[in-house]
Amino acid sequence: MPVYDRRYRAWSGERAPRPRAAATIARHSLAGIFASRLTLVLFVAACLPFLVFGALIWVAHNLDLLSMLEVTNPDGLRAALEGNLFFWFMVWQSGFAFLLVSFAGPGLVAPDLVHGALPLYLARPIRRRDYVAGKLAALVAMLSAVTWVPGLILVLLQGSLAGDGWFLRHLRLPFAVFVGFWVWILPLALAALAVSAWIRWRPLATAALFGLFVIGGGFGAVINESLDTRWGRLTMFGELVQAIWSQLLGGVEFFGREWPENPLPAPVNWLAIAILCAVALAALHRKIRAHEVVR
Amino acid sequence: MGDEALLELDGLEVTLGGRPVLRGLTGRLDGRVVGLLGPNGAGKTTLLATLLGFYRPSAGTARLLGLDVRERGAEIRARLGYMPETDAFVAGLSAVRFVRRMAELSGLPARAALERAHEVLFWVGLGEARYRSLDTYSLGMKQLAKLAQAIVHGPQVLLLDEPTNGLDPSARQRMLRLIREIAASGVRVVVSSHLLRDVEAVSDQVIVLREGRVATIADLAAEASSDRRFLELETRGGDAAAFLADLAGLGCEVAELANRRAKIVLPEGVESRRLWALAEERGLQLRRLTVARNSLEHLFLKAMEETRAGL
Repeated sequence: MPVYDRRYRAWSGERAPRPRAAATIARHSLAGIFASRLTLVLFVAACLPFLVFGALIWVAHNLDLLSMLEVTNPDGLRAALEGNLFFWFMVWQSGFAFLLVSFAGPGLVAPDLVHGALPLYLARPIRRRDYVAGKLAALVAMLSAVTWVPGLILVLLQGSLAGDGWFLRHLRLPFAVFVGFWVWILPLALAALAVSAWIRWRPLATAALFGLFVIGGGFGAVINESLDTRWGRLTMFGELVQAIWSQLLGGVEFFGREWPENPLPAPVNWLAIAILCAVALAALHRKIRAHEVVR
Repeated sequence: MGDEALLELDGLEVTLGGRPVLRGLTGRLDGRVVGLLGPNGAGKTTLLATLLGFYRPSAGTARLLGLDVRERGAEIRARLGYMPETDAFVAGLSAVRFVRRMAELSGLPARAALERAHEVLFWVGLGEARYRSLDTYSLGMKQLAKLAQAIVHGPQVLLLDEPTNGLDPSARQRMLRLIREIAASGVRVVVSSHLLRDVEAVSDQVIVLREGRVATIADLAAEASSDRRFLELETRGGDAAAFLADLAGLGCEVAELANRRAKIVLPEGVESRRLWALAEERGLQLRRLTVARNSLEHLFLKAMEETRAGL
């Protein structure tokens, strides 16, 4: 339209009959996430362990280097790495994932709620589930890039360097890495969105997420100690997930002892994670509405 | 009037939190610009929200452009632009990023959405401020940004909820001019407001709600062009109620106002001098008798009176 022509003209160009709302929301949300310098720095930092673990795997299979380093039992080193390396990679990356979610998650839904933008989204051919899926996809995409994606690359690296049918003998490993990380990032992302929907002040939402996972863990530890029980682990999200990882990996040893120690029964761990997801979804279902009905 | 019905209501009922808010709305609206009038709490915003699919009717139906709001919500929303009454923007975004996002969510390709966002922001008068964060906008600028996001995708129908709320006189005039221009381009508009002058300035048909019911539906263009005479009078002393009843007996339409004032429409064949004679008979003084130009105000007050009497 020429700049001097100021008459109103309706848009008459191309319009998708069914807009890919979730993808659009995810794209804009990701752009918003990485607009924060702190999140960007954290994300880059979260990529570094991948390089360290990759280097470890490469060193463990480099016989020349091992002999230079005077490692007398390279097979033992490799066996030790194979068993626990991926578990510890998951533990390490889960910490970064938690930090990333704590800083990026609260800024996803709250800005749409603070000034009532949600009706503008939902007044378009967008369903509430598209909105939640878009926001969730943004978080999950960011977390995937520092969790299961590098995890699977490490497995491939290990398999290619080890050769000799290693990959076929350890088919359980990529499955464990993939599923194990999803067991962590999905509830984490859902909880972050739910907190962001209910607590609109970003610093408070970040504090609430820390409270949910860190104070919850401390509370569980106190219950375990004071009541001499293991059921306090129900509020220790990290412990629940590590128990599931250990199960998926076929058991993990730490200084010759089972890790994590004295876990809850496996179905209980899975059920607790499922309940956390359900509660987060219910919280989102209640809050992500165009209009609130006051009873 | 438009070619097809803009809105058809058939016994529409909406219950929120166990409380009936819309109670059997029935009527057909086919104006180019329809004013949705009513006092606070009449159900205007609830009706708009129901048309958008935010609330589900508990009974009855509503059709927008012939599409049932229950069954074809997504299709309806694809044709709509909506400007809510309250603050509505994404915190921390500039106007151009905000409008672009809304355009993309309406199905515009990303590149076209950006171009179109610039275009509509210039058109509503925010061109120079389009890179500023919406958090820093004045109330009037936020209203314009809300209008921009509502029209960015070229909707067939525009739902405007209190578009002139909180605007100073010049901003209000600007908003009304924009609405008229949008309507002139062929877009059907529903303007919800409790400001009669604003609705009258842009609408050719009105629906008046009161306590969740349709108080009246009127064709403003026809009302304005009719030969009816609107008078406003004020009485003192005597029996005012009996006097007004006499006027009704003459065939006048009567809307009683506060402080012994009333608005009336004289029917054909009745001259104003007849009023003086009736006042004398009832022993009251006519302190004021003026031609009332605001026909919408008359319609509104009359509708309020009739509904109150019917309750």
